Amino acid sequence: MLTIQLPHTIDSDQQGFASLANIYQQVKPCQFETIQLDFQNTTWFDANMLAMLGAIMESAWTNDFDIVNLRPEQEKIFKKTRYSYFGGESLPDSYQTTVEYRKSKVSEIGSFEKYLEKKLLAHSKMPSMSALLRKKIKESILEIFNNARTHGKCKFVFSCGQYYPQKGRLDFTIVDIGNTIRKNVRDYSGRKVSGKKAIEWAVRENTTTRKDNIPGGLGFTLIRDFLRKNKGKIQITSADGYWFEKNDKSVSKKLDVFFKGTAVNLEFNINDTSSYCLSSEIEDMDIAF
Amino acid sequence: MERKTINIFDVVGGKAAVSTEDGDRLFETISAFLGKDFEVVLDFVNIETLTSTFLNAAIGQLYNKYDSPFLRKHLSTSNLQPEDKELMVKIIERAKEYFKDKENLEKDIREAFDDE
Repeated sequence: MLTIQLPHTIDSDQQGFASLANIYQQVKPCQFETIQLDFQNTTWFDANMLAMLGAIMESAWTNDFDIVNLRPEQEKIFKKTRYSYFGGESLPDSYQTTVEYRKSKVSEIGSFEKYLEKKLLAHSKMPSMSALLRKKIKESILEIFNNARTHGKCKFVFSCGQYYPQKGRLDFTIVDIGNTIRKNVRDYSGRKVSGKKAIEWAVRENTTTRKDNIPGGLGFTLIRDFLRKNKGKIQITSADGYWFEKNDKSVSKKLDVFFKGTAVNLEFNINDTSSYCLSSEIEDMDIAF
Repeated sequence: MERKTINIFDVVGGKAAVSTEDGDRLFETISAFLGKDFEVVLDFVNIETLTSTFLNAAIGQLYNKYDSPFLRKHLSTSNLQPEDKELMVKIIERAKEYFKDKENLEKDIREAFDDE
């Protein structure tokens, strides 16, 4: 039996991603074993980061996982998200601070879109955001889902979210255990690019690793444009790279541990009162094909 | 020139036009009518969610087959939400660059990575 001690906290930041990637590294070689995830020292676990823990447990599906020493308040939060380890058992979320954990087949973007509508945007604790802000949040998440499908070439996408009403933010994490951004950029460029450099390139405007007849390279640009206006944050972990952008400042770093997949955390400012008015109205007839 | 209006809600079966598959199906439909020299109108009435993935497949792909003057003459949109018009303009600009840039691919890669 393998016992893995979880750290003191798992936050939605570089350290949180690195700690979970470290768990991935430990479970990766195991087959048909019992793996104990010991939460004895863990006093905080951002619910949205369950998306990454779920993806890691799925990647090592031949093993039996035991979650032990989980504090009652943590267990409550995990169950409020209907985290699948508990077999879908759920607890009422009276303060409604979590967005349900979900393992989605990549082929089912339609039902993922409905999940976002029902579990995220119709959430009673969501402030009265403009319809356009809701639409932008949903479309940003769908762009990431599509990226996982097109570039990750994976079977499932894992997602989970948490509201922080007092901080006025919503964190939503999407994870796939598929081709990393580094692998895609290496295959495309024929160069031995680092994980950090690969993410930097992938998030630039108009870059894509597609070589077929469907153009790409806009998804991250649209999300970055929106999150800049929204004063939100985006973080990406893939292979041995980590990158984030907040307040017009982007930073990339090398992770000491390798994660064979891609995790994206989107942090939305839900108190955003921007009207998202467009600078100039475009008429249908003005669209110049 | 005969006119064909394609209702996007009908093509995708709902208010969300988000997947590559649906975009690809729309591309095939548009291509079929353009091939018969129809004037095609894309009606986005009641479409509430739209992604770049869908539009890249549906519209971006057309630029591999047709040039801009041809599409300008044969293709138009109606009932796009104001913010979606902005997205459509970006998709079109990107598609034009994408097919042009394919020739400059190696140069771009050298510039981006040769200091690695």
